Amino acid sequence: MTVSISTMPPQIQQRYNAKLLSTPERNLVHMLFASPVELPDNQGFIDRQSRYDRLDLFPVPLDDAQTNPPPQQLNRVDVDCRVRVYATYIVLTRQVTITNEDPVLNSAAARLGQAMRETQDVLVRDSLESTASVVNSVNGSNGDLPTEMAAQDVTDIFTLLQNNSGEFITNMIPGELKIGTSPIGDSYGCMLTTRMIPVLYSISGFTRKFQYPNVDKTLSTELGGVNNVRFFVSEQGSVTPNASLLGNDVANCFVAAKEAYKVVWQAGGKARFIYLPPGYNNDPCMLRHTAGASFYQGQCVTNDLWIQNLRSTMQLAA
Amino acid sequence: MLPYQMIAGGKFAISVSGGVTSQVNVECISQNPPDFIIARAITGWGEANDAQSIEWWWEKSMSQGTAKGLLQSSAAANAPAVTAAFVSSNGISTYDTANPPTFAGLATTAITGTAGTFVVTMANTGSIQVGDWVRLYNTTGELQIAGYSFQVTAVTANTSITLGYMASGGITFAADATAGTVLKYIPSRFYPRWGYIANISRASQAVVSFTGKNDYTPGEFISLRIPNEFGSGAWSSINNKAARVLSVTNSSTVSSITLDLDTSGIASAFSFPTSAVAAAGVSPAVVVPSSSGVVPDSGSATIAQQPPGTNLRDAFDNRNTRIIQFGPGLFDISSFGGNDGDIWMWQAFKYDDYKVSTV
Repeated sequence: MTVSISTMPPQIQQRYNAKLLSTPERNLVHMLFASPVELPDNQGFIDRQSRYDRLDLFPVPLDDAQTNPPPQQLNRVDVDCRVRVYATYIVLTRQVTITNEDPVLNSAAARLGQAMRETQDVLVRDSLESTASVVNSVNGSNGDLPTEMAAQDVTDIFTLLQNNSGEFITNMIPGELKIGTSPIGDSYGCMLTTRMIPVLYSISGFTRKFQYPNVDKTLSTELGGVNNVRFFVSEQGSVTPNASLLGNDVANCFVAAKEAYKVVWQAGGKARFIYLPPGYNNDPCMLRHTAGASFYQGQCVTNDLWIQNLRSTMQLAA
Repeated sequence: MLPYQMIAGGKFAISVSGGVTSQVNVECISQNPPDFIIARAITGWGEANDAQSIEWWWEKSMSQGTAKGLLQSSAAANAPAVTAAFVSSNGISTYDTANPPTFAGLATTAITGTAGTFVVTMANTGSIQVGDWVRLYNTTGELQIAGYSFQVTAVTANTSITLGYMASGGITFAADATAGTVLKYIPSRFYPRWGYIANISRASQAVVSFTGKNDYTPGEFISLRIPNEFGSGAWSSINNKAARVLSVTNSSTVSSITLDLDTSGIASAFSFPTSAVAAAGVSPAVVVPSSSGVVPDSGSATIAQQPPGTNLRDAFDNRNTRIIQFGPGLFDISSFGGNDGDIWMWQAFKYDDYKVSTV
């Protein structure tokens, strides 16, 4: 009988490579422009922050009698944000951890960390989706409503935020003597789905990140900018299914000014990894490990004038 | 798996009106999806001379919305015969509201916008129930509300659904839609949420009507976004201003808030743009949540509580949860219909060890 590789036992045919393959990890963009707030322990679970409204201007001079003018009302605005608790865990038998060749608990920790960070990001996304002001893109040409985002739509949102006295997120990147680059103005930040990339690249005047004169102060999630808005994309960006006039999916593109929204963490409840070795949790025979992750988080819009949901369909005109 | 058996339970009453039972949603607080759900009739179990269903169960190998159970015949007390039953839709389902199930779009052939009744003709109403949210799109005509969301206030199975909250707003359109698609969806429960404006009155205390139940609370501040196309630009003066909610109405057909905002001097009534104008591109008129406020005094919409009552209910929050839904198909069985007010108990279980093979 001829001995060939097909007659070799399976365990001889195979080698286990201990170098693990990468796990896809999503871009986390929705907390990029959030104001971080810490809620101290033992002081409730709703964080209240306040601001005082502007006062009226007083351009009329006092008369010669020097009579006191009427007083103005000082008005305070309160914004409440409730912190909730989030947790998940996995269970591994000791048999697995002493049998498996790769350090499975290490992988468990990494995956729990990833799930936790992506969850935190999604919570902020869903909060913005629920509360941010809605503006349709109307200057595209795909015949839908909203249309695909166009340069004029970005200009309109930029103008709206400027009219609302929204402060920029990023400073200007001035022009430099580098071929193929273009300066970037002071900008607001836009968080949106990666499904919008074809639309963004079709916008007239869109400057891709590699065309910035200086990319030192950019993030890997940034795609580019146009008309004083810089765009940050994520696979888990917000999309509302079948929400356009024609029934197409609508991308919710959140354009934020400074201090438009916040994330609240409780001091004693910050993100943590919790490992319990065998013997805990009604495990008298020490058969199971558990690895968990938990965090306390709240999120909310702090000024409804400074965050806009620029809705866009994702179909380009034929 | 850690020891984990019965994870939730309780009881509920069914609501029957006009021979139609409303679906029952109960909260299953564990984020873990239950593997086995059972509901048993407390009122009806062994009841004399009243044929009805008395038990339904679902387990994770079954399709969502199905259920198996027992029907009790009409006979003297403690003597009825019991037969087995299966429902293939509108039975038991479970989902979390952050990742809800999706539904297929259903065709409509007419939406009565000219009459202002907003009855949506549908040869197939699918699983749409009273209280469900639907989105309209691809309408032929009535493009003013294409892409809008509405809550359903009445269902005539496989004939029509009624968008009663939109209707109670009092808006009419120049022409009906003659075709379109209706998509049922389950909204996220992040709180508070922006809402589509169905109408807004010109009054010393403006009343804003919505297309579905709103979740604002007295004392809360909201802000309006009314594009120029809604009322000839007359409403732009109140855009972006925070207005205090004085009172909230959320009845079976009316969803509105009364605002501490004087709109009596606005020159033109609120109106939707024409279908043609909408097709050319408009943004919707919406209310967005703004900030927290002081709770009005009991019995007064305008006077604040003394000492001031801080409104904790309006805090921005994530109210998503896991739902177990007992559909009307469990109680609307022909000749075995449930009775209004009947009490049922329910239990949800999680298997420690679920085996799909035998030894």
